Amino acid sequence: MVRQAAITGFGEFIEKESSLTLLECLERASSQALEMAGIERDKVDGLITTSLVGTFDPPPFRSFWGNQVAHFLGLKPTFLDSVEVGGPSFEAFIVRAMAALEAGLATTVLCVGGGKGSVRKKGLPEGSFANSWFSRLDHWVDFKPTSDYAMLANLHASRYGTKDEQRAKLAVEQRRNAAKNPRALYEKPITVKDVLSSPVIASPLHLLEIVPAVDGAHAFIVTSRLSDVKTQPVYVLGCGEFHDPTFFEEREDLLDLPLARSGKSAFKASGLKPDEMDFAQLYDSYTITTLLELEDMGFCEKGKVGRFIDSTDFTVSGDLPLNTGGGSLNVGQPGFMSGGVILAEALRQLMGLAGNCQVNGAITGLVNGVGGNDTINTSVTLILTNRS
Amino acid sequence: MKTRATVEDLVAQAEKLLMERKMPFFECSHCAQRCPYPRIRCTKCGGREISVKASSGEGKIIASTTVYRVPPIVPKDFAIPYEIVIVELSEGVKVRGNAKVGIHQGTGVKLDDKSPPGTIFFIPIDGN
Repeated sequence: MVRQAAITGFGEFIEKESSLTLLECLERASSQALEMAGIERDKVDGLITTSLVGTFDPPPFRSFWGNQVAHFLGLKPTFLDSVEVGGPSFEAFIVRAMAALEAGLATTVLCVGGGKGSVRKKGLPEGSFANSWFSRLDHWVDFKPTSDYAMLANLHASRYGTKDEQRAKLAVEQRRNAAKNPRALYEKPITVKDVLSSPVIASPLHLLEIVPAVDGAHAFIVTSRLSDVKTQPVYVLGCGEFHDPTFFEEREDLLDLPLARSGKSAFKASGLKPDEMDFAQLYDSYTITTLLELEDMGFCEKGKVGRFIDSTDFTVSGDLPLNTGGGSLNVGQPGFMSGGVILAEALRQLMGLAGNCQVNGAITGLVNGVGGNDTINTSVTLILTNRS
Repeated sequence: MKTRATVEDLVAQAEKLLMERKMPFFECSHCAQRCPYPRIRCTKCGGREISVKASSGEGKIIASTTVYRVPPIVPKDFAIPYEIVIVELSEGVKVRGNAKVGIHQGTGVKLDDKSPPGTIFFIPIDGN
């Protein structure tokens, strides 16, 4: 990775149910990011976008999305791209922006994406499925992705003895972090008992273990113009991606997910180890998602995450500060993608902007995004630092 | 030259089997790789001759969950709770389906021949 480039600004616009259109949400986040970075709009010569079908306002004309966003924002970039790997698209933005800068395709890339969970709640778009056989197997017979993650939780419990209380502890400690975050939707402290007595949605997952869908957008500025940066630049020490499009049930081992491969690549590139991270921002669509990442990112041995959770304090001042702003479980998941929430929180930490959620002396941290067409097809890991 | 099946051909054959209450799967003629979804190339060897086969419909539950709440977009007459399962068929293919609520991982199951044709609903082999 080129060290002459950095992330120098970000923007976050989240509302429970916004009266703005998605394009307006993207504009709000983009303006914040540009302002933070101190970069004029006319200096942006790269644009990368994402959104998911069914998460923007009608008419749902989804084609040429990059063109539409560029048009709305008034940009005429030399580099234009769209990423569509769902939740981790925001982490993938950074990888692609760095590559574009290194290749000389642009000098300042605006990465922006989001969606409106409130739109998707009202109905599925026509033609969601690749062909009628997929519809046959996947329609109301299913409740993806919640039902798949629920099955992952059951499988992990039966293979390794992981307990409901251990998943619940993750939700409890994330809520403790959220209590210090003025942007969190949920701040009231909860206990393991509260989590386990909340309604079961898909067994064994309870309501308080599942991310709430909200509206919003995130934007990030990645630039090689570092001479006039206003903020603390954040550098990419290492990154890793792995894409396995295999459907959940087709996997030889249902618990063999792409996570470990992306994590290993990122650590190898950075030359660092998991215990050298000052914090971790792990995709938290469900408590089981975070639990699986703790293992596969190498914070503990595979199969031993239950005991690791029992013995680790994940709060801001704890052993391994995890999802330090409360994660998307408490901030909300804009447009069914949490990747922006966790990346923005990592930048807040490394720019020293996290307020009461600030991890003292945070220098290096890990961000991992997961998602995909089926359950966990893509994992993108970033290891970030504020040291040049 | 042999005409290769299109995805829609494969889907039509699979639908026909399912309407006859047989669980279909797809098999590569070259390497015998089996999968639950129609494709025109084998994901293992790249072979282009894929055929539709009928499973015995028997297998074992390898993963399950009971769904108690569904999103508001699901039709109101949809009955909850319901069970989602992944079944490893005796032919080695893993498929999704529904089953009796509360069925356990490891239970031997077969495709229910009393459910409406076209549905994929598994019941325990021992009838419990």
